Amino acid sequence: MLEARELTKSFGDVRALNALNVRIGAGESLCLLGANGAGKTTTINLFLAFIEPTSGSALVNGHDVQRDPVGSKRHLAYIPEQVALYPSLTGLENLEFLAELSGHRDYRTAELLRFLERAGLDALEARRRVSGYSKGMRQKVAIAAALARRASAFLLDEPLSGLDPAAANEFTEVLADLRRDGAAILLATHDIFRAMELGTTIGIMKSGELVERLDPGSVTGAELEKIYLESMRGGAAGAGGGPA
Amino acid sequence: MIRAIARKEFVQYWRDGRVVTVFGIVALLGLAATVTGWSAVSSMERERASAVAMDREIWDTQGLKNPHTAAHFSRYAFQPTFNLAVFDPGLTDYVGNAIWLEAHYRDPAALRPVEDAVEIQRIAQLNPAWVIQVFGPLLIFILLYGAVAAERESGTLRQLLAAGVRPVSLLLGKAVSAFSLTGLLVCGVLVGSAIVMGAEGIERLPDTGWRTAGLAALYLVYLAIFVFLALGVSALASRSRTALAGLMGVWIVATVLGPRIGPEVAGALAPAPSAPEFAARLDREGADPFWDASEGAVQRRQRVMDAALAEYGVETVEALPINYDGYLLQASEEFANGVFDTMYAELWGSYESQRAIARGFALVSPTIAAQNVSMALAGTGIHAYRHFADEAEAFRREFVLLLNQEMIDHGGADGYAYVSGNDFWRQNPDFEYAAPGIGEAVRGVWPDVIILVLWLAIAIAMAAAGVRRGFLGEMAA
Repeated sequence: MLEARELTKSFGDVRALNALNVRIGAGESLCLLGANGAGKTTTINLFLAFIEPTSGSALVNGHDVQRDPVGSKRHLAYIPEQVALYPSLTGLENLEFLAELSGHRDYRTAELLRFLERAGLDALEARRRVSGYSKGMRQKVAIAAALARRASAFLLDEPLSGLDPAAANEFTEVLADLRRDGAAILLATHDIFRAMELGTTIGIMKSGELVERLDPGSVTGAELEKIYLESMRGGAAGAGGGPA
Repeated sequence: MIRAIARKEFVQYWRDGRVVTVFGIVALLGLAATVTGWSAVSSMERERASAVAMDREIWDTQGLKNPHTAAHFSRYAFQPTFNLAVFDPGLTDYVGNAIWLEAHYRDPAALRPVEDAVEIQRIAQLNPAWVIQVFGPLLIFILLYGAVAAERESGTLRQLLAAGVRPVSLLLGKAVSAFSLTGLLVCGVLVGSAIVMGAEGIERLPDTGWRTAGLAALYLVYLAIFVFLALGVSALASRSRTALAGLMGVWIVATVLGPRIGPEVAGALAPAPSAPEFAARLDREGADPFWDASEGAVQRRQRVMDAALAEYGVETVEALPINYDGYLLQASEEFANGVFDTMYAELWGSYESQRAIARGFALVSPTIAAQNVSMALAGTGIHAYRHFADEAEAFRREFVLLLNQEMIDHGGADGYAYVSGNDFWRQNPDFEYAAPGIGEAVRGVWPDVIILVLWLAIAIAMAAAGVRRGFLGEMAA
């Protein structure tokens, strides 16, 4: 579960995030839409405890990320736009390393390969060095790492940008599987279509505020796009509001 | 977590062709240096054994000769080149390993191997300690310049943070991997040296086991300093290339410039007398004031005569029951010994002053402090040389006394005409050198040990602060 309580962050006089209140339970996903600088990445950085909140708190599975950064990260997976791996290691070796960092030293190779396979990477690819991987393949390793560490909460920062349609579709399906298996997902994206497909709630952020919460079942893609564009221009359309 | 990071680093090292190449080159250098060291020590020991035998043979067969004349002809005190000189020859090539033991004069050591070396050999004198001192840090810097900076550049640092990796774990994981690899080099070189040190004909230093353990500990601490320095610089640098440039600067100052500039500056600030100048002064001040025609010398000789007459209760020299010439010669010997003690104390004092000044440079170059401790443990430093020189001098005094006493006791009124033969020479003892134990060997280098420990503490603090700052900077990015 991911929860923000009055989560606020200011950089000097600039308020990057203002009193955010969200709760993403097991099997739920919140897709945050918004222009650059709207506060999406700040929200993710606050959940990762990379930065300290000015006020409020962020919780992962009930652990306050500031008070208990180690406990909060134990079952947290972070997938950035560019997944960085060690190029001289194979995908399998990268996974083994990442699993060990999270305290899982006892996985056998077959188990690690199963995680990779579930993430969409076959054994042959897994044994190749990462230096030859595409962006999509790197993300699959990151997903496999999340599976290996038994992550129940996911933070994804623009993971779909730059992926070809097939890879983006495959990645979305994997995320949907994870959500169905009970993961709580917070996804920052510019991709309205994928947000509709993946989100149980869609949030629109602007100037550090969550200005809209939408149930994707209650709006069409075209309506969401219209709401999004209007909210970017100035006022919020107020066409919906799902629990988030 | 530390183990996982260290293991991952090892795999990366192994697959990085540059690391394997540099490690291979340094390992080959270490091997070549060990073989060179063994060859040099074996050769010196063969020459010494031959010279010792020849010296004894010449002494024993010199035939009829006045004992004091024989004291001028005299013998050599040879210092063994001990086993640990294979690893660190220190000053062996420069201070000489033989001292001529003659009457009325305390000679400095002679037979310096460096005098026989052609120019190129002087430049290329390889030894295992030097390989570790100079190339160990270089290898560490190549391994670690990107330790934090490259992780930051590639984005993996951010993901490590997201995975809950703590700065101290990253620091230790990286340190363990680089330290293990370079520690392997140290152990390999020491084991290689230990194997050849056991070769027949090479003498063992007392406490060789403890000294070897001390050398291992010294070089592990020495390399740990550079491991943590590298981590600190890599964490503080904005880019890995900047870190590499900075570390190359540290390497040049610490291992190349410091050890060369330090002694030069020390020599300029606290000059020791030149060898010819010192030898001339020894001769002048040790002999002339006793033997020349000056009033002081005449009075000294008169006092000796008065003492002899009083000791034997006679009125004239002719009535003495001893060989008075021998008595006077021994008195002059004792006069000169006092002069030598004063002059050599000044000489050693000037060397100590130079060492103290050079030690100041250890604040910018831990290599200087490491070299001092290494030479002390290997028994090849200035204190080991001084111990040998003092032991040789003590033997010289006993030996000259023995010869003068032969003349005094048995020469009667023959004066300088008294002669001894081969039967007497064959009874005379050899100089047998016993090197000091480890306790005495390291007595003079405790300040260097403290400097190294301080360096390690500062390097660890710098690395910890750098990694922490690097993490915080990355998190705020």
